[in-house]
Amino acid sequence: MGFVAVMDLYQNMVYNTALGIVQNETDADDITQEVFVQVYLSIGSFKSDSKLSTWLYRITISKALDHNKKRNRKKRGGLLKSLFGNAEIEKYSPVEFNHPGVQLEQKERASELFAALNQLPDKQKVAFILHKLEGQSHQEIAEIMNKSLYAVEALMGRAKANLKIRLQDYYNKNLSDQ
Amino acid sequence: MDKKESINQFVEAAFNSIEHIERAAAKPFLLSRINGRLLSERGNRWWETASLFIGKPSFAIPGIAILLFVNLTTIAFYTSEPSSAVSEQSVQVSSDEFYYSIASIYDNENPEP
Repeated sequence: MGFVAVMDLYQNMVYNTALGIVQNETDADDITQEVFVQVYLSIGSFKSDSKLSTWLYRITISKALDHNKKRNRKKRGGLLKSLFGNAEIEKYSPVEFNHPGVQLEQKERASELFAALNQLPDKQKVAFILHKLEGQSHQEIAEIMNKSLYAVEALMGRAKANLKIRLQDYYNKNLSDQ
Repeated sequence: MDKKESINQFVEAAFNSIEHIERAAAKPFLLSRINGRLLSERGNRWWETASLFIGKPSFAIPGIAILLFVNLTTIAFYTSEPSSAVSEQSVQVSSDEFYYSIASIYDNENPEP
């Protein structure tokens, strides 16, 4: 399969996964490009004992999580600068993210769910995104994340429990404000 | 309906909101953008390769030694004193060549008595 065929087949998969993790369309587009550049340059290192999609998922997840780490470092740097009075105070307010695949009437609830999802630890977040956004089974997620099936099920359980806690906190605060 | 029940309904609705989510599609012309990025990566790689090669001790140390040798040789050549005989002769030649003398009409037609 040629590079263009691989790109045609998997571009939406890569973009959607990256979008779920970084929650920003421009950044997800950048990551998609980076993933395919890496695929083009290092296709020789691909071991055919795993599926091509699994390899692509791994590259995408790694790049998207790296991107989030860099973004968080920048935010911390900005906060320090503002504390020492070197820069204008950058107020951090999480930008509301609307996934383009969500139905119109569900956008508000989905946006709240994505905000809560953004606060989860990386592994829980990735497992949840692969399952809910990409429709991967627990077995496939285990293969992608290089974990046992039991570990993935535990991750999913913790992800749902943590999301529930965060959403309850959010609604408890916001419903009492209204 | 009490508040707790209401909150639970909102939480349930939030979880259900992505049940029928569609896969987001990548932006158009992805291949062109990837091509552009690959070209710039190749450009960067050329520079990276060159800088890595220049930075290697097996290249850098002899390179610096040659530069120092050329510089020192040049300084030594220009600061060495030329011999005095050659110097005087060359000054004499120069002054003869550039001697400026014009015979005016006063010199020729008004000889002193």
